[in-house]
Amino acid sequence: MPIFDQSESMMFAKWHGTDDLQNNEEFWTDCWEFYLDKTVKLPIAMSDRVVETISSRIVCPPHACNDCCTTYEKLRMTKEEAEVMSIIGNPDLKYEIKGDDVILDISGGCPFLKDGACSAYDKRPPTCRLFPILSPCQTRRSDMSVFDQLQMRIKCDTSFECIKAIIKDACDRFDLLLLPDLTLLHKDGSFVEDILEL
Amino acid sequence: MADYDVGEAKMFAKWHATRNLLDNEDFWADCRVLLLNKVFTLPFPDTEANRAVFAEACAKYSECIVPTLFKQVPVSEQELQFMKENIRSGIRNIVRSKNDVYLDMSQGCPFSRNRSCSIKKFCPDFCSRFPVMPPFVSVSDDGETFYHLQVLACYPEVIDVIKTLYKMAFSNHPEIVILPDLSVVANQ
Repeated sequence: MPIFDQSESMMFAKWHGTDDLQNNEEFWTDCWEFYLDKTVKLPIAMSDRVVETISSRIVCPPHACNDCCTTYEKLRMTKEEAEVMSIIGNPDLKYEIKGDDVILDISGGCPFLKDGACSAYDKRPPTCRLFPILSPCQTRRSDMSVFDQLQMRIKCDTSFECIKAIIKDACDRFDLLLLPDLTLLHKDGSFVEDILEL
Repeated sequence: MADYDVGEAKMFAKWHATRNLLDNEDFWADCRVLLLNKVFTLPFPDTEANRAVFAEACAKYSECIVPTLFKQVPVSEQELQFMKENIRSGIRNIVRSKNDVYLDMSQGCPFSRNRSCSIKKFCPDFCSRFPVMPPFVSVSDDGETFYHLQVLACYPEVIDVIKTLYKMAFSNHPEIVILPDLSVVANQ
């Protein structure tokens, strides 16, 4: 039997028996209330369309919530991105170079966070730009190809609107069914076994 | 987000839009097919009376299927001692792993005769209780321990018993919602 947490149980108790949840605004209002801070892992690949859907919605001004600056302990970026931010060679920063990546130590808060705002706002790396999308989970399809699977935390209105838009898009394009715990199933009852590409 | 197996996914896809599943006979007919061979943690205590209902429903199956389903059967030291005292042929399939003792069933059960148990009076609790499984233990916020009845739906009759128990317990409780995987949630 699937194991539901308390918020999922409450959502099932209220919404079991209702069809077409993805188009029910009252359902989404409840999701916002019950699933705040929940990490949602969708059977959807991080395609260009998904990134566009997200980046067009997540427009956080420099003085916004700062969650991305304090949530992570390490911030991974490419060497090019690190150079743009003048990280490499900066004696005040703790970082390590691993292959083509630079990993900046931001435990205790990001060193670029000054007076509650990002001092490198225009140069910040994709991890910060796309927060609260979490690092994609590498998943294998049944044909053994590896895909970056979308996972996102419901952290703020904007992230919630992104998840809602992506789920609605997936339901429409692939004729999927949405359950109250935000699980997606094919309408014939078969699993969404493979990572879908929107 | 929970993990669903194939049968559960089919049940949710078919029955997600039906609120009252308890009184829906078509739903129960589907359960007998799609939810077979799953272990159910039921919202009832693991009491002798509750276990007996399942034993009675499955009594018509004389064959013992435990060795076909489990490679090892857990046994307590007391049970083992009791078996040693009463089984003349001895017990040659004992496996010890740290503090746990098992009877090895990977080559079949040495006490099986014509697919029936030849040591029914002395067999371990795990076998005599089957299809009731060891209880699922949970602890409440105030430290109270609950032993939930767990059962393996190896026969359709197990689903029938679950249906009867659910109807007896929840028929007049509209706040209780049965989900398509037979889990129970409360609408508060």
